[in-house]
Amino acid sequence: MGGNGMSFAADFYTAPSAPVQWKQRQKRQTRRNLIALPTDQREHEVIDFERRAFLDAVIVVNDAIEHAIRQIDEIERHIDLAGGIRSRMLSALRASLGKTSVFPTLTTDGNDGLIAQWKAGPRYLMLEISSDDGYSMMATGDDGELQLNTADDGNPDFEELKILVREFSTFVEARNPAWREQYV
Amino acid sequence: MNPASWVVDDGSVPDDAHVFRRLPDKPPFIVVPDALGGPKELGIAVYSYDDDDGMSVYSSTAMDRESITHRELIDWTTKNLCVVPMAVVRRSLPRAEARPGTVSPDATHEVPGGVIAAEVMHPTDPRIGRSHALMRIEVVPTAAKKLLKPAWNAFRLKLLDDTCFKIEADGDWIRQPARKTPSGA
Repeated sequence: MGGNGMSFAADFYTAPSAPVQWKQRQKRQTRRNLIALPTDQREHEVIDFERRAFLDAVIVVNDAIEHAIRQIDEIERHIDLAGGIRSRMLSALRASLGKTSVFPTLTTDGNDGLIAQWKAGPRYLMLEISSDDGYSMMATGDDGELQLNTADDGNPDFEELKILVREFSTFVEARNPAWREQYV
Repeated sequence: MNPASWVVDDGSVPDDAHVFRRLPDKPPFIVVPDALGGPKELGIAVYSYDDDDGMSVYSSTAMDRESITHRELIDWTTKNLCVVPMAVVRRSLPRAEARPGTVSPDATHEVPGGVIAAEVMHPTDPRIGRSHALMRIEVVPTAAKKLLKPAWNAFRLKLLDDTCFKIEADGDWIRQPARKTPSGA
């Protein structure tokens, strides 16, 4: 285990996908180690931020996130993602994907960033994390019309993304409860 | 960048022409499953772009001039190819006439684009290099992300709706429902 919060987060985000049970066992010990870290260090604020982000990350492990991690692993067998892309995307997905969430499809953005997409008939949801330290997000409604098309520096509003994923998943579950068969 | 110096369309490609775009076959990033069981569709990453230059494409007009076919554009063992009509690139339908999903919530029309000739060096076939072009939109590369990226995204969705895709040189163009094989391609 690393000696500071930065390495904890980096180790977790860059680790290859691991069985859910292993990660759940690691959660409890990792959380104890983080809480035991002294806070009167030079990078106190950075470490505190990483600790919060890490705790948020380790809590959320589910099928949708595991599916996304496997896809990102596959992508990284072929290309080098820009620094921070994997962790930024996983932060967004961990904050928004619940145990009943429809799986995203992860692809590159054609360069060294990542795109997560969800498609269900007229409904479409997209999150792009790019290497220019920005993001973009799009969503259509039941009529197929764009209801959201936004972008900015940094990362998306995780709460907004969570709502969009929940609405999308509710739409899908009502029409095709066997949706997981599409992602085998 | 001075917006006046950003050339979007040099008119070198007529509306009845097509633009081709080559794509790596790995990592797999082309299709997105439909959670309702519908046909898989092309993902938006098919139309990636460079903020500074635009989107790398090949113009059928230049290819005809160079006597080169789309089958010769790529190494089919490592690449795939997609194609979209030039008329669609330039099109800017009002919301009421456009297909759903191609006009941003705060916009009134589809995002229009253009193509400029942009020859490049090619390692094996100079005809391919001379057929190269750049697809662009009017928003200049130096614009804020909150302006630039949504415009590109709406433009890309517009293109996807009329894009055909091929994975083998002599194979069929893969069509989505309601999409047409481009004539002459």
